[in-house]
Amino acid sequence: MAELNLEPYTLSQNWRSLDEPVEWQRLLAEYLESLAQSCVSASPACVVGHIKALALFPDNAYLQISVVSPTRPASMQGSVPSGCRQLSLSLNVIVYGLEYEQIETLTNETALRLAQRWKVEVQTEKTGTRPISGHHEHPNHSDKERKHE
Amino acid sequence: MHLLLITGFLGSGKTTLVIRLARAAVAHQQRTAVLVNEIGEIGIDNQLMRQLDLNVWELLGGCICCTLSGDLVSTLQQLDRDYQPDLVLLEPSGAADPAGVLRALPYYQGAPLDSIRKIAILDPLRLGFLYEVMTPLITSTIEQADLVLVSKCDLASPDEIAFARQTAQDVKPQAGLFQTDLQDLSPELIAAMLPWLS
Repeated sequence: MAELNLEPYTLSQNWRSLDEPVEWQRLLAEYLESLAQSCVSASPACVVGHIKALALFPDNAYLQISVVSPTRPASMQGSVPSGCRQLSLSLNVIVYGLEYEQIETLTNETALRLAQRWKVEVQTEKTGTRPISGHHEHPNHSDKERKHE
Repeated sequence: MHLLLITGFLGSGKTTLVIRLARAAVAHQQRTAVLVNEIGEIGIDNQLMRQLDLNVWELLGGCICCTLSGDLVSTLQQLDRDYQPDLVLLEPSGAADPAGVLRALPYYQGAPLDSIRKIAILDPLRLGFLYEVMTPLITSTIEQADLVLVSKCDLASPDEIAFARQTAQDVKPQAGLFQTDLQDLSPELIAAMLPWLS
């Protein structure tokens, strides 16, 4: 297996219903699952580390969604308050083997595609800066190193 | 001050365990701090823990086994000076090599640590795959552990659980070995991780 670089892409997005109340849990689970599948389609050698998202609401309420594989459903904790029409989502896309720009493009394309289908609006509020080193690699992370020992 | 290091690959269940342990420790009147490291600049776990009213310190945008190892030491010293916790739950990013985290700890110059316990979590649902593509990281995680926890046992098959247990035993036979779904931690499991409480 080739050495795997890791360039985490983090961002916060604002999601807003344009019309009727939305089933946010279903939408966001589909978002993370689709994103994991898109990553693997873009590079079959990539490894989905963790794609996770969090939305916070008043009174200690929250929705946390997590995907660790393109073939397994998202896991969720918490819930969205009923009648919620807008939420702010923090999203971490931690995928080995894809460049930062690729992950950025896939994340935004997937969000826009789903927003259109679910009749909602999505806007990126801010993104984390690209890691200074570009790659996060440790000498003992990838299998290639082991084979060279 | 006791230090509990919770390690494991991305998505293995570290944050869930930290939240459960923090609540158990607080229930035993332990002054508890969580120090969470996330590789991304916009953290998720730290926000969730704050929402759940835990005392959280965060190290974001890097990894405490390498780029942020100096920040780990200074944050621990700051914690000792300003908060004086009985227990620090330290959660490195899931990409961190625990050996690198442990190499940084001797530089800590605060009050002497009463104990350092290292717990590794293995996700049996994808250990087979990860062990193939990231053998050195997974092996190092188990090697550094005093106690290995096989998580997600409510979702994993008997074969997946057996593989995870066997892997842990092969790499570090002397480590304690438990399995759990992480939802309800048994008193025995809590006692194994926080022995000074009992």
